[in-house]
Amino acid sequence: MNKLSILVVALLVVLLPVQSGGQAEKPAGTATVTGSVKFEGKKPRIRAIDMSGADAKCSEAHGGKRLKPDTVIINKNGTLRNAFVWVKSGLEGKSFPMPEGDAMLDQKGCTYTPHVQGMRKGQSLAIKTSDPTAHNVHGYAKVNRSFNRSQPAGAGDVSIRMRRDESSPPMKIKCDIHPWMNAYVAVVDHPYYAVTGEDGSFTLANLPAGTYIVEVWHEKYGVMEETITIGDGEAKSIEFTYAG
Amino acid sequence: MRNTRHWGLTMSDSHDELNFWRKYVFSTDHKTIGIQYGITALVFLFFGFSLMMMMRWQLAYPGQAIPIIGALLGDTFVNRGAMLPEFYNQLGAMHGTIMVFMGIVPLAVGAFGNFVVPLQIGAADMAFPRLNMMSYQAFVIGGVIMLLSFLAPGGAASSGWTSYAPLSDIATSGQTWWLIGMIFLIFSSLLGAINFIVTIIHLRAEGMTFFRLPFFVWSQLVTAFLLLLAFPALQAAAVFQLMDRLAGTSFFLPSGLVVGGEASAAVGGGSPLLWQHLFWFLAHPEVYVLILPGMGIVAEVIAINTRKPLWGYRSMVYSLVFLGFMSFCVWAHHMFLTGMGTTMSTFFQITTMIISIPSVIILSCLVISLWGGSIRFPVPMLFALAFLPMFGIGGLTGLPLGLAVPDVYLHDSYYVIGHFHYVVAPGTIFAMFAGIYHWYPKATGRAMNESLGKLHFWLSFIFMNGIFMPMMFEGMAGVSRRLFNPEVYNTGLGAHGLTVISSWSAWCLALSQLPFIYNFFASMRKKERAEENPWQATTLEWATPTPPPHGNFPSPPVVERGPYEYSVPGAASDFSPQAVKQGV
Amino acid sequence: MKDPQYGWWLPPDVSTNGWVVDQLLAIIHWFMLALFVGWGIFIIYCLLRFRAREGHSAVYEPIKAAFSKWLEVGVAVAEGVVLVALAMPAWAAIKNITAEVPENPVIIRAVAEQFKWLFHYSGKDGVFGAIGSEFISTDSPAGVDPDDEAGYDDFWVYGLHIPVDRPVITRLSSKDVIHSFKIPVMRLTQDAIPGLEIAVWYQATDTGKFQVGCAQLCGLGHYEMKADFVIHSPEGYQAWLDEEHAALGFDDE
Repeated sequence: MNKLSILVVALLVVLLPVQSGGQAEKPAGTATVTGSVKFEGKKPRIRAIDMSGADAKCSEAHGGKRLKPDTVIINKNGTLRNAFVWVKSGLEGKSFPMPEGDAMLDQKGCTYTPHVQGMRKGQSLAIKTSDPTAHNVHGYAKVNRSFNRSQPAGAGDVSIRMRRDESSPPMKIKCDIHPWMNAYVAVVDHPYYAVTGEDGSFTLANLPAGTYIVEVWHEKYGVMEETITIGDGEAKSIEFTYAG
Repeated sequence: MRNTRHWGLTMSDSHDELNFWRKYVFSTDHKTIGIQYGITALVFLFFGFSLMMMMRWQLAYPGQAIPIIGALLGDTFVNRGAMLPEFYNQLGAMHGTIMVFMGIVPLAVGAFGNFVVPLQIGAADMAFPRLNMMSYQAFVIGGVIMLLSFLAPGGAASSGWTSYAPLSDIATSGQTWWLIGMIFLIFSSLLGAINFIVTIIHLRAEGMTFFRLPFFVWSQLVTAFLLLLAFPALQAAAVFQLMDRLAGTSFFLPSGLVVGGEASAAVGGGSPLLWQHLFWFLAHPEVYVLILPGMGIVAEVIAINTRKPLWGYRSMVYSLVFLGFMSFCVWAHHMFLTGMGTTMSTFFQITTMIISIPSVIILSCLVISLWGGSIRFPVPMLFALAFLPMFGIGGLTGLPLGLAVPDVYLHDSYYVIGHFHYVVAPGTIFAMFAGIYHWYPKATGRAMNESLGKLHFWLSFIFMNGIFMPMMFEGMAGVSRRLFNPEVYNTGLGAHGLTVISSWSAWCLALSQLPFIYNFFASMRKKERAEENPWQATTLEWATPTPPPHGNFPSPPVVERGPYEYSVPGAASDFSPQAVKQGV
Repeated sequence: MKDPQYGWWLPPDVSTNGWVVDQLLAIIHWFMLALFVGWGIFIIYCLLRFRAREGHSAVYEPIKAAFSKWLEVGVAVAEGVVLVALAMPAWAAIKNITAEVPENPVIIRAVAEQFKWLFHYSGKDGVFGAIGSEFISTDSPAGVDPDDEAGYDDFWVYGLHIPVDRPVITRLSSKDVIHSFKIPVMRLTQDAIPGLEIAVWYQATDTGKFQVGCAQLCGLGHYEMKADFVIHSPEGYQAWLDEEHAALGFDDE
């Protein structure tokens, strides 16, 4: 073994425990909040979008069919999709590990996927285009810095770093060239947030014990909140109900 | 002898030894300031032209990476080397602003006006030399602010050189820089305008009556009045817009704006059309600010090189004054499509038709002046002669735009771009070139090379037309202006061949300026001195030593006759200078 | 793909008023050409005949003063007469376009925003719902009051569909900045100005598929602010209306 190899081995010995320590980090807590977001009342009149008059490349992506917008989607079980649930307060002063990689937002068929998402403060939002037409990503930020960048067909990702909390309400992102396209991104400085999906449920796992205000936000129906106190290892449930 | 006192003062000044800074940087000498203005304006012109060359790439080859430059620009301007639309809009707005406010006006008024007017009227300097220096400094500050605005977040101003509200009110911070830059540029022009008016009215040499003023001086006088009376409207508008952007006022924001699907926070109650009225109240007279000094230069060059008096000098002067007056009464012909009523549009159509008459008279006089001459063809004359048909095309194509009905089709199309560029580019810029070649021997004491000059002229002439003639056809084909990619439209796709011709002509035009740039600098270093009066001209600037000393004239000239006494029957030579004997 | 209808000159004209514009454009351009060629010939003749050469010298006063005065007056008068004579038919034409009140029109609202045109149709009942900028939302981009029953059957699309041979009144408005409603094949341009509603009318003479554009710089997506412009046969238009109504899917409520 020459000197260089010894050096490398020595470095590895020093570095490895740090590495493994990072991977095996303990969750911040063991409490879990679950629940669902229900919808009662009259369904709103939402008109389907016909993209063909505006941009043939958009409507071709949907086989020329009209598209129901993502604004209000009521699931089969009477729950509301695309509601953003997060711990609004009770976690102040705590710090949590950052996820690796960027939050992703894709433009496909002249709609944004996902329509609503949460991301961490300090993380970057990578906005990708998979469309054969030009878009512009216009972030109507109220707390973070607003941005407005063109993204022609085949262009590289636009990456925006979010430096501040912006979750009540989340930041709106819009394509002005295709005005029906919008998405919401909530920037939170902890990992306890969720977006309701096809069953309208949410789970905030690994919470430390404590008393929290949990807030739900929907782009059309606004916010509701609930206070909950939870101990280690406990699992509690919250039900939010929006009236149409 | 009202200016004797002034004479005494400046003559004593001229004996002081000035250090480098006082002599070249903070000079109060109108000739130095004129040259400073000239060089700065030429640099800005070239910069503005470069912006346009990048735009022409995007138009001819949409979505393709810009060669060389594309790799150097940041990702807020280009994506994988290909231009982004926001950058295209910045280039468009800044090209217009730079060419008009930082290129042509400073060159036509600041440079030629400053250098030539006091010499032609027989004055020792401008009336307010310090004001003159300040005017140049304000211009440089304004210009630098404009250029730096490219570094602002979101880039430079991108709402067009017209900065129509509310688009400009809600635009990125580059627009704020634009407004601040404009305030300095306007300030500079206002200082200059006052100075010119006072100088021309008060500092004329003995015997230099108003009707013995060279036509160029008249053009500068009328131009100065236009600047003085029109610019305050834009100055006010710029301050209003600045307040809309920074102080939350709503001068140009109506109630109920919804931007990006969200109600605007502005209080509302303002009018977007107010901006257009204030802007065009300046910007139409501004068109004449751009063209009148050019006409003045062309008149000088034509008279000298036909060796005979200008035909209809007096009617040209009357037309000029009338033109200046009328230019304040036509601004709303830029706004036919804003929904104005028939009465209003009728009024502005009539005034527009009326204003074309004095322009036609001036142009006719210049053309008829050729009759019976003995025409020489030095480089300045070539540019002056080319000015006539080029300005003619520019003026004629204004006709369909000035009538509301054809304007309904041609408004905001490439036809408009072709029209005003014919007035300003092969029109005014050719006149500017004529002036540079004409007065270069006066300013430097050296002559420019004739062969390189002719090469420069012919190439420029061909490519200028190569750029702008296709635009007329594009406009007729229905292609709108200010489109990042006209091929999005059927009309643009159909006319794409024309775009390619324009673009290649533009790049060739850039190459055609190389002989000029070389000629301009190399001629300065020539050993051989030019003659004192190389063109055998009559006007006073040729009656001083070359280059003129501080204070201009060794002793005050006394003017005895009009400015264009060429080929006077019975005279000893074919030109009779305005001042033969020098006063004491 | 390139459409052979569009080239280096005027695109096809499918409107009842377009010929007025085309005719004036033609007259003015022939007039311009005549003036330009006339002056051009005069200039070239002068440059050749009066060029400086051995044995040739300039004449101090080649045109007598009295003659020159008449010529000056003549130029002014001729210009005045020609221009006023040109301007007069123009006013007449303008009157024809804007003053005549069309009968049995189709009324369509065109709402401009960065960066698309939205066309709002009144639906089966022929009545627009209550409109206001405060009603604008993702669900109601045209600003229709969602609680107004008259607006239940309203629909909005991103392409402009009109029937042939029937006057169409388009009520233009803008949500944000100034846009300009331009249809080259209709020889029509009109600014859409926020805070104002401006009506234009036009009538198509032939069916086909064309484009509406924006002619006023409105931001970074200005170049993409285009919409299909479809001129249907009367039956085709009715079929299209029915299809749009069915697509609302509100009838079963």
